[in-house]
Amino acid sequence: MATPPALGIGLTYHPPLEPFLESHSDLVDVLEIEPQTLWMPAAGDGKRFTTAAGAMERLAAFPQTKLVHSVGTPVGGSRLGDSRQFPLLRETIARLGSPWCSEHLSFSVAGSRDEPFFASFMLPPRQTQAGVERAATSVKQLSHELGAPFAIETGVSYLRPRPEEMRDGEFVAAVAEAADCGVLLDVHNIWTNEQNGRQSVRSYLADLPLERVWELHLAGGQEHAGYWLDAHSEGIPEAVLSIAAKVLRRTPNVGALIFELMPEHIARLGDDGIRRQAEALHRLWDTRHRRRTNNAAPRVKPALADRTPEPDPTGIDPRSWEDTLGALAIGRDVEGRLAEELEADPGLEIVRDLVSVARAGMLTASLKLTMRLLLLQLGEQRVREIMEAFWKQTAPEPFAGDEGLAFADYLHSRELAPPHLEDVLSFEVAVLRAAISGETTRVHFHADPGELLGALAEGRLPTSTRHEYDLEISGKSVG
Amino acid sequence: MADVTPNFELNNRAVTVRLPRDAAYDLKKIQTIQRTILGQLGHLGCCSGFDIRWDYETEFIVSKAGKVNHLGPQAVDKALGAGA
Repeated sequence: MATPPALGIGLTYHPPLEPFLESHSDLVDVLEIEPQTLWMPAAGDGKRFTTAAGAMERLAAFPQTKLVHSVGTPVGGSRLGDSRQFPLLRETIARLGSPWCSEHLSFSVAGSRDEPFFASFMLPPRQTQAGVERAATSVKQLSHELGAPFAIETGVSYLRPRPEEMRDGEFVAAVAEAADCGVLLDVHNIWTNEQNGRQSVRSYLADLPLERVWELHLAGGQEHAGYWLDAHSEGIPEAVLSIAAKVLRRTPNVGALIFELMPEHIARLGDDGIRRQAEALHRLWDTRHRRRTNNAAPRVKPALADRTPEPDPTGIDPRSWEDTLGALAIGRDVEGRLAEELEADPGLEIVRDLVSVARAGMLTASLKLTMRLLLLQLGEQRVREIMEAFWKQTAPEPFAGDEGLAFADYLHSRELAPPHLEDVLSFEVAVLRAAISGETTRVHFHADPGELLGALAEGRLPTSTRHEYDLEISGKSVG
Repeated sequence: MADVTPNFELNNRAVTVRLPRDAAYDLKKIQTIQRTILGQLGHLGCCSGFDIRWDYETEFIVSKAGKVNHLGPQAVDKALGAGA
C-alpha cells in the first residue's frame, strides 16, 4: 500500500474562493479539486467531456499542491459512472501532479445496462459481503483507470441501519482491505451518521484500519426535518474538530486535512470565517501524530477479507439494492418487499427532498431567466408542480447544462403559454447549445430583448411592449 | 449585420450574440446580463445536503404579483433556517 506525503491543510476549490486564496496563500497548503464540477459535456464526437477553458491553467498556477477528488464515478456500487470521464480524470491527475486521488464509497448510477439512470445523489451501497466484493471490484477498476494511489471516501447515509448489514465502519474497512487502497475519512460524515442514529463514531473508528487513513475531510452542516445534513454550509462544529484531534493521534499516514464548503456559502462565511477554519485545521495539523514516533502506532487489524463472510439472509444482492434505492430516490414507483421496507424508512424522504432541491438548483443555474419568468407569472407552487411532473418522467442528468436542456424540451411539450416564455426559453436554450456544442441559433423575440432579459435579471416582470427582433447566438471553440 | 466581439467564454467556447438586422441596437446590456446570470453548468459537487440555489431564487422573487426581495445575507440565513 502506498504511503502518502504529508501535504498539510487545504480547501476544496471553487472559483469564488480565488480572492481568498490570493490574499491568504500562506494559510493554504493544498487545493482539493473536484474536476467534474469544472466540466461540461461536449456534444458530438461521442459526447466526451471537456474542462472549462483556462481552468486547468488557472489551477496549475496556484502554488498549493493539488489533490484530485472525483465526484462523478463513485465506487461503492456495482457500476461506475460514465467511463468517458476516465481519460480526462487521468489527464487531470497527471497534469496537476496529484499525489493521490479519491472517490466516494457510494453509488449514483442504477438501472439496467440498456437503461442506466443517474440518481443525482451519493447513495449508500449494499453493506454485505457481496457488496464488499462488488465495491472492491469497482475500486480496483477505477484505480487502474486513473493510474494514481487511490482512496475511498466514507459516505453519509440518511437511512436507518438494517439488521442484515455490516456496520458502516466494518464495510469501509472490508472494502479498503479487499481493494488494498487508502481511506479518506470524512469526519463530518461519520459524525452526521451518528447524529442520525447510525453507528457511533467511537465504534466506527474501532472498525477502521487507521493506518490506511490518508486524508480527513471536515465540514459543517445544518438541521432539516429532524436530520443533521452533510450540507457543507457552515464552519466545522467543535464536536467534529474534537473527533478529528483524537483521530489524528491514531492515524500516522494522514497527508492532508481538507475543509469543504459549497460555493453558494462562501460569501456568507466570508474571508474571516474561512480563515478561522483554515487556522483550526493548522492547529490540528500541528498536533498530529508524527509517523516516525512509535508509541502510538495503530493496531493493525487482521484482514477482514480473510474472514468467513456472514451469509445475507435477505438475499438482496447489490444490484437489486442499487436499482431499488436509486429508483425510489428519484421518485419512481417501485414494487417489492425491499421497496416497501425502504418506503417505511423516513430517511428516504430526506434523500428525495435533497434530490429535488439539487435538481431545482440545476435548473436555476442553467435556465435562470426562464425560471424567474415562470416564478413571477405562475407563482412558486405552480412552478414546483411543473418541476415535479418533469422529475417524475425524466431521470436526472449529471450536468446542469443537460438538465436545463431536458427541462426546456419538457416545457415545450407542455405548451405552457405565459407571456414571453417562448422568447426567454429559446434564448437560454440557444446559449446552452452554443456553449455545449457550438451551435448557431437564430432566436426571434416578440419584445425588446434588452428590456425583457433585463427585467428578469432584476427579478421583475417585463413590460409587454411588442417589438420584433432576431438575435443570433453562436459558440466558437477557444480551448 | 451588427457584429459583436465574443461576450463571454463558457465551457471551451466563446458565445457570441449578434443582431442580424438592426445594426443600431445596443447589445451590451444583453451580453452583460447573460455573463452575470448564468450559473455553474458542470457536475454537482461533493455534498449530501441542501442545494441552496433554488431557495435563492424563491427568496429573490417572492410573488407572482411581481414583488421583489433582493437577496441578501438575511435571506440566505432564512433559507438555511438559521435564527429560526
